[in-house]
Amino acid sequence: MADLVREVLETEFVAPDAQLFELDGFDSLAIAEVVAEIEQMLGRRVPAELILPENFETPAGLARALATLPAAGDG
Amino acid sequence: MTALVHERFLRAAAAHPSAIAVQEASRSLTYEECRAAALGFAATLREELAPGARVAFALPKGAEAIVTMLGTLLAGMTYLPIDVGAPAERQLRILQTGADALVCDPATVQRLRAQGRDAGADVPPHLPADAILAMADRVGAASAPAVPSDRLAYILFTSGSTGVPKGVAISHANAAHFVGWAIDHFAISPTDRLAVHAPLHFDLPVLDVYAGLGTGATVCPIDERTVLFPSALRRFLIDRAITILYAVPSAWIALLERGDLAPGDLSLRLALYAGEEFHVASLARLMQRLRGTRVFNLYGPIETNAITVHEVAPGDLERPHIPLGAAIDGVQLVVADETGRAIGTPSIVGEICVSGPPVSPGYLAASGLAPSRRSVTVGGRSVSCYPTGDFARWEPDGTLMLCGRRDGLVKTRGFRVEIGDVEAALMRHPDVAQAAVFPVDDPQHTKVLHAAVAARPGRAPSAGELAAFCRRTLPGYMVPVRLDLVESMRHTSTGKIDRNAVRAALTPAAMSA
Repeated sequence: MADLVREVLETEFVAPDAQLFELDGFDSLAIAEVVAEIEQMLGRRVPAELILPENFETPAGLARALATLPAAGDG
Repeated sequence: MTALVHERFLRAAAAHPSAIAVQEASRSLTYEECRAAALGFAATLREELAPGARVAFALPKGAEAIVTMLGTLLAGMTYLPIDVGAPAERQLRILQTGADALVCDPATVQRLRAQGRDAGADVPPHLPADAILAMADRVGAASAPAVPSDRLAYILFTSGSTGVPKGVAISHANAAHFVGWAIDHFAISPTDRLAVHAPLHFDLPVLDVYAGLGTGATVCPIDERTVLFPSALRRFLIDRAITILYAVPSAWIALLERGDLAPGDLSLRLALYAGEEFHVASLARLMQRLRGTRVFNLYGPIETNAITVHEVAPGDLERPHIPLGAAIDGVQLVVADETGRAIGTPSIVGEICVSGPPVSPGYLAASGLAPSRRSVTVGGRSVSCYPTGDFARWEPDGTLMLCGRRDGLVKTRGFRVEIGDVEAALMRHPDVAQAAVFPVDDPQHTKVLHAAVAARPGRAPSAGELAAFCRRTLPGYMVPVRLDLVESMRHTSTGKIDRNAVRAALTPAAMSA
């Protein structure tokens, strides 16, 4: 997840516990790109109720929130 | 004489002392608390600064920022809102236009002082943000002096053509006219709950804050993180029972497309938009989910705030574009042809020119204020107008229809950006020889920016490095979403970058992105 954020932000290194909101360029466009990348990776839509600030504090927190999702095809 | 915006607030506070003026997630201020804090802050400012002094603030949307705005106006001074998210370099440039004090948190002032040392620039005296609400008991806080209506109320900064922020001065008379009109036109009352969605350095919140606090309504600032997440915004609007939301179309579309907005979710009385065109297909989808909500298109440059209004009717959704509508009360609108004559005939395109009480007295300049005016002949008489740079035509029904902007100015994510600014920022990178930036249509953000960059011989900057460089020097909305390194730029016969050729070469890659 940290690598995915790193690629979207085109930056050098993002730690799993990095505070995403403090990273340069972590704006609405970056969030939309992160969600799009995740959707491509998982092959399913991320439900709107998961796309909330409390799930985007850190890459690790985002991974935990996404772990609650059933796999593609189940939902 | 129209009441000034802070005078309306004092009247509302006297009439509704125990009503909630500002509501945040974990605290709220009554009108009486808000009045006492603002008068206290005004008394402090009057002790320390001269009348007409300029008070900058870099604060998140919330009670401290709103009390800072009200207190500065009550003191007869002028406030300068600074984007809290902007790079320190840009924040410092705004302070260098002549701020006499800065309200912010300690971390922000430390960052600015460090930046200032590198740039050889002083940061004005710091007023700590956490003390703002604690000044209610100041000596002399009971009253405020009368403020002349031609005094500047606030200065809003746009991106200037040289990379230096351009300060648009707004007088008390300008603000009072707009706010007085908005309160009447939208029948804003103490039962309303107005969200503050747009950032405070933008002109949309002028309506939210002053029309709200001028009537006894409740103002609910939306914190910056909630604004980033459409689902969080939807939850906010429901939980706070918001009745009026004023936002740019990009934000409405995000709420619609990514916020899972369902019909009947919101208790909105009014949905207002401004800042960019709302494409009809998206607006139609939004209106299906907003049953019982009246929808209004407001239009106007930052130099005048809104000057036209149009209530969107179901029949408008059959048109190719939503009209700008008619001039608001007291504003004279002219569509002028190239020779400076007013066009009365429908369907002929000309520049929208404005005269009347909302027109800004000018831009900040070394010698005072520099007005932007164009003389237009209307019925044989010469009228001095503000030229908006927007082109429009009259429809046969007397409403105004927008046709586009003058070259070089684009709208992205609701902000007005001069393309030349972004190019200038890229050109400041030591490895860059040439840069050309293009607006590209984007369904959510109206336009996004793509850049073509040619490196200096022997240099090879990466796209990521250039993007990071832009993020350090430009506000986020000005950073290109795509940067392509090209071997060299095509040039026209006059030696200028052949923008059409460069753009055409970029397009296939852009399409596949």
